[in-house]
Amino acid sequence: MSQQPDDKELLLQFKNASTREAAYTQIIKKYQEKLYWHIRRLVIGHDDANDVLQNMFIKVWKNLDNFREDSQLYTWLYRIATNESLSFIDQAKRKATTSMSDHEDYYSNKLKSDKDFDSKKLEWKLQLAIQELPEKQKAVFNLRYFDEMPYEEMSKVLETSEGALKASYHHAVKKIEDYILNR
Amino acid sequence: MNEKLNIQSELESLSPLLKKIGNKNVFSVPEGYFNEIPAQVLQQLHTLPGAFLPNIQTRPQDVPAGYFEELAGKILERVKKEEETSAILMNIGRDNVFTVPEGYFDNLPTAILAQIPRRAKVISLHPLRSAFRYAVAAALTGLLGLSIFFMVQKNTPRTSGVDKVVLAQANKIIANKSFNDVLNTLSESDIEKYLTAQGQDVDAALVFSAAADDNALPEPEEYLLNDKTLDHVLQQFNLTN
Repeated sequence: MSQQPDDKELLLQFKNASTREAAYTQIIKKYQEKLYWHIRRLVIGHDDANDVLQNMFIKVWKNLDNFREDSQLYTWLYRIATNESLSFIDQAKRKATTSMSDHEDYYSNKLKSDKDFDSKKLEWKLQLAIQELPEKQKAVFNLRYFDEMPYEEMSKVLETSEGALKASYHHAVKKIEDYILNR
Repeated sequence: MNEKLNIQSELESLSPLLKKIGNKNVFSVPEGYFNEIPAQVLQQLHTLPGAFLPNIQTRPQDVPAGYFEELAGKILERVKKEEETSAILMNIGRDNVFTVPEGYFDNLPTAILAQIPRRAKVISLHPLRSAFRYAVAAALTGLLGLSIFFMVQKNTPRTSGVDKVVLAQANKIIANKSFNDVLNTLSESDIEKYLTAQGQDVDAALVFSAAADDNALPEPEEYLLNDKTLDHVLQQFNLTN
């Protein structure tokens, strides 16, 4: 496995017009999978995740010159990915639905339409349970449970205090457990 | 690695069920998808007008023509103007043109103090659900217990009719465990009188009672979620020492 290039080096190369594209390709390669899965778990469908991922990388290109290197590129990218996903979800729900019950079912139905969906498998039931959470709590749960992100980093990504994140994650776990056991 | 273990043990304590399910990925992507992403993004960037233009930044050479040549002269001109202004001010002097009524400053402290509201006992003890209530309850329980103890111990002819009534009531309260209900019937002033008679610091009890009302305290859940919550509350009320 080849060694991942250092972010500082990549940012330096990005600032140089002759190495800009190559550096950006490296940045995308380095983070695309982690970011894709984070987005995918929030927006569910592959096509939607692909749209959000590409749009976010285009936004990152436009703003990378203004990126303040006192924060980590990784957490900055996660922040943009989360915000783009939540904003995408908000717009999609507005377009597709009219009533509150539609809002609640929107992503559950999307999950059920996945070609691999299997209602008998606990992993899929877990995904259905996650869809019952409010959007931001969904992001908190996914970042902790799937991405195993420390609260300190998550606090930078979601711009929320560590205490609030901890409480939110604990509530999410309890709600999900309740869903799995009782529904 | 430690963080991963922390996350796992946190989940174990919260929900062994979720830990058992594991964080296996249920979704899939088309074959070769990740190999194509960088090229796709760059392709889109090429279609965007201006995406590859050099970033426009303010450079030192982006100043009006002749700016640096004129700068020193302009600065000296401003310094000279300010000096002239200062000279004028020096001549004017610092005589105060305003006056105040006679004796104004002598009376000012008294006038200000007169406007400061007296420390009134505005802290409500209703409903009696505060720490104050429990402190008083504890004190009264002790008193009640002691009274009963002495009465039973002495068991002398001094046990008058009144004592028997008190004793019967006390036994009833203890038997029914209705101490809180009885306490609720006491007025604030009765409690204060009692505390004063017992040599207790009424003000301290009132302040703590107000500070520790239900609104000022965190939700019970927070104590469970955050180990530091209790420390924070104690620090807030300066009760750590």
